[in-house]
Amino acid sequence: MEAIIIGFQTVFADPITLLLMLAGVFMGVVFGSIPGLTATLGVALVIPFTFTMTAVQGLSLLLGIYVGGISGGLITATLINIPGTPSSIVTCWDGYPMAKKLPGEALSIGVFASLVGGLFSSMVLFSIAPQLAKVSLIFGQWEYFAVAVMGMAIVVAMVSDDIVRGLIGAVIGVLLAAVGMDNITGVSRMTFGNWQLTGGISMTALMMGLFAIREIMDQTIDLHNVKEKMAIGRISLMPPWKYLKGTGKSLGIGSVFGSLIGILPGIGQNAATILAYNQARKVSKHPEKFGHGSAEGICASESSNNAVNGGALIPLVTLGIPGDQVTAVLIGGLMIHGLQPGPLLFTQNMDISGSIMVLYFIANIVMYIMMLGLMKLFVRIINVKLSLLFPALIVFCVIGVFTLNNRIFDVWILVIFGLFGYMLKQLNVDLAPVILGFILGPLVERNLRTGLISSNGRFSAILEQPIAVVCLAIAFIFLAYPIISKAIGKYRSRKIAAEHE
Amino acid sequence: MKKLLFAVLLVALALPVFAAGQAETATVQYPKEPVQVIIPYAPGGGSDILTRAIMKYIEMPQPLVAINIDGAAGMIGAMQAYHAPNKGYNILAHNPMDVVSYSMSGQTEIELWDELETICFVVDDFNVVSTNKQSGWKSLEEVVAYAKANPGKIKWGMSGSQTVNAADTVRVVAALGLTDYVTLVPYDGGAASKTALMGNHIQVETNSSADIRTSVASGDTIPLMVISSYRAKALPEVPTTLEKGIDVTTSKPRGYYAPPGTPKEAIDFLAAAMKKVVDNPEFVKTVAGLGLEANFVDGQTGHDMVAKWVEELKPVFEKLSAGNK
Repeated sequence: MEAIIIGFQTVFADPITLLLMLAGVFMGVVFGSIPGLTATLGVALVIPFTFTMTAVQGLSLLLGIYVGGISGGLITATLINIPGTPSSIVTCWDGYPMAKKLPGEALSIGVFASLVGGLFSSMVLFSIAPQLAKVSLIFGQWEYFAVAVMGMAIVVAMVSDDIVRGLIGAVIGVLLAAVGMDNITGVSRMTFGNWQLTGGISMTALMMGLFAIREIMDQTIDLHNVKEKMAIGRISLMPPWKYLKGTGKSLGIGSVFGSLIGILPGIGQNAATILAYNQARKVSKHPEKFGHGSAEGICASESSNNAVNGGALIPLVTLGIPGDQVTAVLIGGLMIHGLQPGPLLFTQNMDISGSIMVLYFIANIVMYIMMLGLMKLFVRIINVKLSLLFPALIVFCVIGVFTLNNRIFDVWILVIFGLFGYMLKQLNVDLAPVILGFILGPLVERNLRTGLISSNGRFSAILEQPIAVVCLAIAFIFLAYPIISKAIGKYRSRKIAAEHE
Repeated sequence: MKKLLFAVLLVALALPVFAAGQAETATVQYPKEPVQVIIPYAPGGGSDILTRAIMKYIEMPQPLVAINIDGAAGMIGAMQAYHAPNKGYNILAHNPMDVVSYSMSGQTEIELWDELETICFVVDDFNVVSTNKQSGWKSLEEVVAYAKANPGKIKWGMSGSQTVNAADTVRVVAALGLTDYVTLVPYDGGAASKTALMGNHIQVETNSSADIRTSVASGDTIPLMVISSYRAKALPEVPTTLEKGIDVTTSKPRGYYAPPGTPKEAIDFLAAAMKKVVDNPEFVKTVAGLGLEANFVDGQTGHDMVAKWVEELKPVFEKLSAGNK
């Protein structure tokens, strides 16, 4: 609590800090909304400029970009079905169908959900950060393994209408992630002797290929159809109540899932949105609307990706452990100023740890107001000719993917997986399991192997870890659920038939 | 008209002569354009910040420009540098012990540490054997005693299994007579190993001084022994392997490399400019904050030092990769 008060004092003592926050959020939203340019890239590009600022000023700018970048992705996701950042892939599924009729409202709901997710995780950060930080320490190899297996099991539940194609997608994802140098044994896998491949396949390049380039190809087919001018609809501070009604549950799921996943290093926004979306669909009263413009779907996706940010800041502030790529860069930002991100930061540099929490909170509010303000401008892209928009977006994808790691090789990945994604789509293979396989496959593998090595190959060692056992049990239920529900369904229909007789 | 044509022709003929003249001065006046430094890790990491500190203090007529190329634990950047133009405008920031491991683990056929031109080393880092506060151990002797009394109870973390960190761990464990008493657990890098130690998933680890400095400061990690022939300034109380009678003294310098065949003038120029930076007390203070120790080693000395370590490490790596098969 003391830290927060000190944080508020430090942040508001310096007007430049607040100006930098505005600049950061603006830059973040712009980066986030342009496919190919991501929050990670924005933060990486700006970090050299923070050397000359004070630590708090630098953090203000970086956190602004972080929050703005993750939120900005929903704009293009909603309006043209192309995610601005990989973390908004799921927003496309409901945002775009809804925006076909009500673009203004769809955007308002997305922005509102981002705010809810951000503020929720910020409250978690304020109140129970030190206690929750211990979670990151309790989690050993077996716990991570079990959580990742649980996530993988959700894939099966997710694709229950077409299990074979769903699993094909997941396996493709796992195989793609296995390419490159294995960090445990140092062995090269599936590199075909090409050293460029030892680094593996860049996640950003892969996702922008599968979801931006592929979608552009998809839509180009309909390019000859002349678009009708669309009415923009209402953009309001609060989305109209009739759309928000019933979204409480999915906002809650998104916020809680996002915050928890954020605390566990290495999982990140992309997996969080997919997992939260599926959970929200499961508990929804109208699961059939998901994928056809459901406000609940938008809420689950956008609240969870923003909540990950706050969650990821918890181990950063309390233990000096990064929760995702961007917080890893933030740690660098602290070290440059001679600060030691670690267990002592929280108590010894209360002004810094407090400022991080307060700045994150403010960034969310600034993001909300700025997004609503900019929305009136952004929403016009819906009426821009696609033949002009698409080439520009492709250029940005190429620039963004190249700049992130300065490799032309990644641009090839972008192009190849754009074509590959198009092929998969034509074969009716869902692309969401590909991402989950790509993110979770290596987590399952690495932690299983480390776990087995540390217990001398004894698999039963996992039974000594209660958290891991619970997660595995949940995974099992997910896997068995389609079978059980089918059995119950049969039993019911038989009963009904019997009653009719 | 003819005169004009003649004049034009004369100028045209003279141009290459001027150009050639300029080219000649170019070899004398290095650098004529910004020098690109490949940092083979993501922005914000220890290697990144070190190079940015160098960029801040270095005095050159042209700036250094940082290019982050992350991937395969630093190997992608190293390979990129190996294939880069060798005119002195592309260099690589790296730590030699990682570069060594790429060839020794069989990742690449190219002996990168030898083929790349060593410009200089600028700082030292050390591998440190430590335990956590939960274990209650205060010295290496206590660890050894416990391990012998409780075979298989101690899990000992290291970074990777085909790295110098792992090779040194294997050698230290063998020297302590613990090979059959502890379980070695390879982690995906120093941060993962540190977190596992703090959560008591492992009881002992070999990790870099830079990685553990914050948890040492907070008392969560207890350093027991530094792998080095001299005491680390950041850990003056902690004995070294040499003091303990263990003949493993590979430290972890970080420095700069240039593509094979880079002109000697360029390398000497850069080495001299970097030496000035290392002599700057402000730089020494900055890197101390990163858990590193400023220590300038010129290219030839550095190369020979690494060559000696490579001889020592080769049989260990052969054993390590035999274990994988």
